[in-house]
Amino acid sequence: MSADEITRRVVQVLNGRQLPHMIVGSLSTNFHSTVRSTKDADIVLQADLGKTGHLIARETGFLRLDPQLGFESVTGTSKILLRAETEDFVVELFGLSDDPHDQMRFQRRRFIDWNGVPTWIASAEDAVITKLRWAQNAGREKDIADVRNVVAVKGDTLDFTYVEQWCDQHGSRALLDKIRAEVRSKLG
Amino acid sequence: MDADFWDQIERSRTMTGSERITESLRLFDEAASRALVGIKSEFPNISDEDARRIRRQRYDLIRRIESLP
Repeated sequence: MSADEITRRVVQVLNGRQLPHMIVGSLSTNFHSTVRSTKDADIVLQADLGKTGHLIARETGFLRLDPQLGFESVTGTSKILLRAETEDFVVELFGLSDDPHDQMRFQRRRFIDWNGVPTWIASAEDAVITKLRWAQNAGREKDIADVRNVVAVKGDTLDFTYVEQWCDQHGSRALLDKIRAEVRSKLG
Repeated sequence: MDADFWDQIERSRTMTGSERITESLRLFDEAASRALVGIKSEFPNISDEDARRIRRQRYDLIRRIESLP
């Protein structure tokens, strides 16, 4: 079973139960910028994580729920992990947290038609803000690369006033400014 | 940022966002297949099941490292 089929099936189960959700992480930055391989699909969910995990496992029949509840370390958000027995692709479901930016990005999520599958995805601005926050706290090069890609592709269509406001709060403004300057210098 | 980066940016502009999601997931499948070939090359007598187990261990290790602050 392909990573595409696994992800679609999860979204279809969420749609079938009308569970509010939002695709985040690398799939969202890929949507807004360029293609890079990703080992997992990250989805934020406004519903009970455990119950939804069991529901998805039952309705898909091929995904199993990892028994261990995890935490995303930057915001302390709860997460669960779903994986197919024979595949290594993983779907991570995150609970919508009380974190102010988590709440805001969920309100601003965008509806998309993913080749016939209706779903919601984080806006380009919110994808950038989250990745910068991660990069600031965890120092992952791939997060910086994702931000660079979105800034390069979207250019001035990004609402930088909104992005800067959150980056100031998260302490990631200097990193944002550095990436913007790099991209600007290359574009001329 | 080199010429490859800008080539990639230009190529991506010809695709829709949905196409980019689908393509990134396809790339995972391709990378996973290649990883399996690599493991079998590393351990010539390994069974398919054991090769998949090693691949899973490697992916899990990377995920664990990446999730650390």
